[in-house]
Amino acid sequence: MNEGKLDPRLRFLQEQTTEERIEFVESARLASVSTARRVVSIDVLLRCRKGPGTKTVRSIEKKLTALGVNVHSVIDGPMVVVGGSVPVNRLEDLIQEDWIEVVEASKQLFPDLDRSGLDVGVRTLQTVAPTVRGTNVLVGIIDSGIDFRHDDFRLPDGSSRIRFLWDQSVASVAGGRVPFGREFTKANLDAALRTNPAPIAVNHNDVEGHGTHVAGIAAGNGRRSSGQFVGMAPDSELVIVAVRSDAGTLGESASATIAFSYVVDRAHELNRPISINMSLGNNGGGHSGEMPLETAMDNLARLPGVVIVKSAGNEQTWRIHASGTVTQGAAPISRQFESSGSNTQQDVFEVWFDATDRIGIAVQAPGGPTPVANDFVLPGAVNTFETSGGNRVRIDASSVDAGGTGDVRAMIFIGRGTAPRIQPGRWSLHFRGDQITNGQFHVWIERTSRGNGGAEQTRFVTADNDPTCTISIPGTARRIITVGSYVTRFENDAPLGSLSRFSGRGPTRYGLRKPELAAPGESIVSVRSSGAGLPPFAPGYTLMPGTSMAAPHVTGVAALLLEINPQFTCEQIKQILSRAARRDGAAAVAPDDNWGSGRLTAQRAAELARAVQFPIVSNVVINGTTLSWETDIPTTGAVRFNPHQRRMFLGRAIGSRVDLTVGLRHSINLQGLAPATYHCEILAFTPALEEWQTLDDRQGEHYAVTVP
Amino acid sequence: MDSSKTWGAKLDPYSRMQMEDGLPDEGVEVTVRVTDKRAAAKQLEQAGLKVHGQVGDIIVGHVNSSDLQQIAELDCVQEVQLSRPLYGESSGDSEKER
Repeated sequence: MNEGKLDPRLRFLQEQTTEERIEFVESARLASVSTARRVVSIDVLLRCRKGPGTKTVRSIEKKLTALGVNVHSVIDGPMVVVGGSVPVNRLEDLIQEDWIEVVEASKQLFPDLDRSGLDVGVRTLQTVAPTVRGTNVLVGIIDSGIDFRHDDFRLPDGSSRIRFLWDQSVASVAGGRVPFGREFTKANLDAALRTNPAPIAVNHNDVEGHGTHVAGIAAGNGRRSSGQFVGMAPDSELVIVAVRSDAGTLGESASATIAFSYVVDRAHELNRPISINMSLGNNGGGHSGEMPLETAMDNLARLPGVVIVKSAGNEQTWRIHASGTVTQGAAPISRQFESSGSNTQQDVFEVWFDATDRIGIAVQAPGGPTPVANDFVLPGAVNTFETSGGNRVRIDASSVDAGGTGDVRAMIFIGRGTAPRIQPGRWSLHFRGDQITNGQFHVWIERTSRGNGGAEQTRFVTADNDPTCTISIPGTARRIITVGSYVTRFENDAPLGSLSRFSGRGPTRYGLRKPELAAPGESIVSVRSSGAGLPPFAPGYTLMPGTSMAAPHVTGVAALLLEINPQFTCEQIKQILSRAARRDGAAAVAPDDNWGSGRLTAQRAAELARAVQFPIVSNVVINGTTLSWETDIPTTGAVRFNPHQRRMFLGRAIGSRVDLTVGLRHSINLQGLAPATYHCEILAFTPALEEWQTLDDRQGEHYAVTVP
Repeated sequence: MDSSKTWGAKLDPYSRMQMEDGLPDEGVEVTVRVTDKRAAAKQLEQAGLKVHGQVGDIIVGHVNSSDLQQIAELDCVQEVQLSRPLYGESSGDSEKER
């Protein structure tokens, strides 16, 4: 009975060995601790009752001192609250005293997954009947791998919660089901956990620790911490893909694409819904979902029971985006960027603009001559030259219909050339409007490895920096859920509850809302891979900040919603999470391009998931210029359209028409539009106060309506 | 996108740059966007792509560097991109660095 007096976090600490306690208290930077004579002390708060022998504050202090408490502060009142430190091995003595009602750990010591779990409201779902814990749902993690031996990824009997693990790096075996690397099944992992040596050596090790941490947030069961550090979907099972990492990178776009296909295939094989997390990205593309990896993710996100969640990226404060509008015939405008003194890697820039514009691009090195007319590279052309400092510059503007979008994608490559490094100082990009309809352009600087203080990362000067459109790719894919980060732990002067300064900001280049919402990401304690050299925060756990950590909160909560309805689509879960999102405190400005719809709110999302009815669109008929359809429940309707099919696929409509009559049948006539074939998507809205919608775009093929 | 355009125009500038700099002997990983989801994989295999998988109109595979042009020349191919590196998005050091 006295057990109930003790904060579970202290009970967790009590159960550790002396070595583990020392490791914990030394890594808990916010705690004041004593490890003298290998006796580990910890800060506590005690609530004490006045009574016989404890009538006064003085008597309580005296008794506590006798019990080993070093009293720091006392607040008198009906109950006396005492702050102090106590050796962990004396906690048991404290709870035996009937006048001591509660012994709590100093809150500062545990600003972590349990805090973020409380913040998003997932604990009630996990613990109060009817509980929702991810049962019969898979969580897919595409990342650096997983510490499969960690207790948090094992069942009470010690067997693995991982159904499949595909390590893309290890040597393949003949007859394997994966195109490269090696797949390990739950049976392989269980055998490896049971016996040594294992019948099949599972030579997988998460040396980065990133994937293990992410998996712990989405799905860790807290077994190692006696229930202290529990992830969002602790009863789910896992499908893991460990991508190849190399020199600061974590996977590549092609192998990541096939990783998505793999985890969805395995989910179908097991007949389970799956929520997939990707906390990887880059800046290479047009930031409107055009990249093949993004197209693949959007294709998969159409399937019922498949949810894809992506981190928004940490690019907002890296000054990697600039934009502007050129005017036909006016003087060129420029955007300056800075190269540091130790930049040896190639700098890559992506420039995107509408192909109806002819915008010339030129590059000027620090101290170099101002570009003249012939230095500007126009759409369709390529130019390579060497700067006076020996650097090699290539401007390739020959992609005039990039990814079928009808946009120009120019890329600028600046390499060392014959010099030992890229010339430090201010460079300039110049943009000249030769023939302009729209005139707007965007430029992104590709990420480089950011070790060594980010010395390799070239950045725009502050005056030319545009912090919008900084969602990392593939987070700009239209149909997936993209997640920003907010602060649930005080660190680096970031106010609690505020959006993380680094959190990637929308919208997409085409103006679509991203991110969808924000979740705790700064900073989170989750599972520590034993193979990674990360500092422990508590035994078996480590601290990381980033949108990488925010996304798996959403991935895990999406898994809970899939337990409620395994047939939900990603689009439907996106609507539920957006509708449920809280807009309190700093998030009161939501919806916007920083917060999306607001803060992740799990309990409300579950309530909505149990009640929602999404309309079903059927019997779509095209008759001349009229598009007709039916719905199973009364709805209003709309048609969005664009004569450019690829742009419509990416969500860029040029117009829409609506039918506000509430009913089961709808017809919308596109007559009056300019002659063309329009690629259309249908939207059906429930007319209730909480409006839900179904988007039918014929599985991405669209309904083609020709206006003569 | 006009799939009849020259093979070089089906590559993105990053891929063209990599080709000019010289592709590795062991070949490269590519993603290919195709017009015909059902038949394209077979055509790509015949042209030298070792197909690793397909998601709708996106096909992923490995190709010997010498076969890349042949792949891009196929009518069913709209776009070819060499694989590009991704990065983890934990940001511990990014905040401290500035």
